[in-house]
Amino acid sequence: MSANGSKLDLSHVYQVLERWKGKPGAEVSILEEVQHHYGWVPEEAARIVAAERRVTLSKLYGVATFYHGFFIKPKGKLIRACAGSACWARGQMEVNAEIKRILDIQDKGTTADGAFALEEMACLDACQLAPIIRINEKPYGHLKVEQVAEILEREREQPA
Amino acid sequence: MTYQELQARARKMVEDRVGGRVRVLVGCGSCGVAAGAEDVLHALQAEVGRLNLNVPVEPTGCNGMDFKEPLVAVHTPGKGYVLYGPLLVTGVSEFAQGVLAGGNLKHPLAIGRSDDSPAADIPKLSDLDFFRLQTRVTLLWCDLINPDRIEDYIAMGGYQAFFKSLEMQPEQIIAEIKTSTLAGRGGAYFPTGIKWEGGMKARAHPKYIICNSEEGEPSIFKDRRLLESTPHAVLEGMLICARTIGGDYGYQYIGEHPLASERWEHAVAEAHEWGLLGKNILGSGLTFDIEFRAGFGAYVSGESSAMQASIEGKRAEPRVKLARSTESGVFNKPTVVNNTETFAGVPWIIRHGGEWFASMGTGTKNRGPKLFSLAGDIWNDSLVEVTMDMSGHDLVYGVGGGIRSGRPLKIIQLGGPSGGYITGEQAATTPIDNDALIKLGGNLGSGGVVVLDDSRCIVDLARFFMEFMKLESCGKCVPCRIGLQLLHEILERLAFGEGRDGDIEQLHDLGEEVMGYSICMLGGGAPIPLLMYLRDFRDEFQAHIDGRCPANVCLMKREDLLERLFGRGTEARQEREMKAEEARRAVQQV
Repeated sequence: MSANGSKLDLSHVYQVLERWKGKPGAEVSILEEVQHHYGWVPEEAARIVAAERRVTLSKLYGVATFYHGFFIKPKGKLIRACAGSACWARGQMEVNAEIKRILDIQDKGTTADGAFALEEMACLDACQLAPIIRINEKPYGHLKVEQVAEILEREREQPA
Repeated sequence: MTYQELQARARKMVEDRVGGRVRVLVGCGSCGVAAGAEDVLHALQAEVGRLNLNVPVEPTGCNGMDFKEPLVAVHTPGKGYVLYGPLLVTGVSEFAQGVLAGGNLKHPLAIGRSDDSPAADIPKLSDLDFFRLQTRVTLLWCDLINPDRIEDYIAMGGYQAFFKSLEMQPEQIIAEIKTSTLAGRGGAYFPTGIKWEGGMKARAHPKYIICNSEEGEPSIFKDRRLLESTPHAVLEGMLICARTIGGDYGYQYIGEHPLASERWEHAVAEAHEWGLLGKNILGSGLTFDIEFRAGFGAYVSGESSAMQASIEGKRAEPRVKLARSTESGVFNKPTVVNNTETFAGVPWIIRHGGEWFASMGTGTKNRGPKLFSLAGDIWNDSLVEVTMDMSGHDLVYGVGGGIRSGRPLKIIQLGGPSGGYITGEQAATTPIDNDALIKLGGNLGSGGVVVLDDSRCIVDLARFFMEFMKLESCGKCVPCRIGLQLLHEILERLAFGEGRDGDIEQLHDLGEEVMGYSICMLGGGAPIPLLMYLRDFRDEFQAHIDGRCPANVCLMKREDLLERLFGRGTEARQEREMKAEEARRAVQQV
């Protein structure tokens, strides 16, 4: 079941599995492609992967919870906030705190309404724009704490 | 097929596409894209169409000048190019009319011209400190080719080194690499020649080759830039390695870097089309293919044995290395793991010889050009390639353009949270090389440089680094899992102004234990900067215990600091909000 109760179309999982057929040990990449398509790793998809790749579901769960990039619950728009040392030097921590305060979430958390998820990353490769966040890959650079509320409000209204 | 035939084919394709015309290249690395380069690219294309100009506008890689992004270069056939930046979408129309339609290369945004450009009233790029002090080798073609076009790379001379290596004996190639003293650019600086020799001598098959592009460290972006700008240089390096050790299969392991992954996969597909990957490559008898593997945001998977576990589909936990990877690596087969930058350097060594490479720099591990990503309290946020005999002072004030605030330099933090640093006083006389950093008690690391001025608090920095390392610890071995947690707790205590007597000694002893007993270099490296800080900035730690922060960063009210760090969960704020809510209800009831 997906977040809103409708049935998930799982055919994409089989496409991904087909592509990785015969390549040993590709479970991380498979889950990554599954997440890329669905936005998160649904349990039903993981069950199919486990059965087809002949690994246990618990092993996949172990993998999915080890890497910070995986979400095993539905997430909305992904906010990737930099947490690198260059951004730290230019006040990123205050920006990140403001995001967490407004959305009332922690790193790797999803908001109660499912609109946003937050991931703090070590480097977003744009130190010249520090402090920086990306919302669904759209960059917002030279951020000031006062701008955060407005940006989040605008992003909330725009469809993903 | 000979190399001449291949290059002739590529040159013809380039000629047909853009030959004989003015050509505009927009720097579209992920740094440029973040600054809006793709919008500029599309706006320029539209504008050129509207003005009916016969000028192709194409993306290129990043030349390292992040501080001037979005960058636009106007190439005139036979007359070099002029570089402009930062060109924003709002300025595109005026730029296209003036420079492209009007043919007037002089423009307020002009940064400089190439040496062969006749536009005498624009300064030469090579005269700017930023470029003058650099030794650009792997970055040389980054802003001249379209990264999504293999023919651009071949037309410049790409894959020539691979063809040359097919005519050399593996022993000859290894001798050449050994002469160059190329040392692993991922941060360990292990001699590549010796590693490859181990791979060559291993008898088991299949032999695997892994390119390590995880790059999960804070504030470092060199590997992904190479993949975004010249993916084929990395691919060529891997092919030469395969030729040398008799490699059968390659893995490219890229961390959470979408653009780099995209360009890499495109490059591999192109190489297949051109017959440079696959079965019996160009009739040489060499069979080699490369599979892309995604890392997914776990810093520890950059450690080579953890990466191998990840490639095997497991949690990226390092293992105790009883045998070298070249004997028993991924899937328990011989494996050569090299960093992206190391692979990108190999074709240049084959092309120009090991002695040419070794002539840059001194010592055994410090030769050849090295990429550094500069950031922090510095004017020129950039990716630069310099020789490692450059002094820290030149790196900051020459290439880096100096400190933004104009304040004195406090430290140059090298290699991120497990590296080392050079203090402001040492900067003038200390080169940025391995020997110097090891003498200071740290290590050079993979090339991240964060420059901090004297308004920064060392305890806050140590706490920040330790928090990162604590979160990234994989949890397999106890010293790292619990030790880093405890170190972080003590540092947090200091930041809150709740330090106790003996904290400094405890940090020191615990740090040394974590360093000594951890399985891998994540735990083994995490306390290195902390131990250095404790030695050089002991008075700052002591001041925190005494209840003051010299830089006035820490020791604010506990709830304020918690709010700064975590954004919520402070009782004071919840109390404030509850009161406000009560007040609102009271008003409604009235």
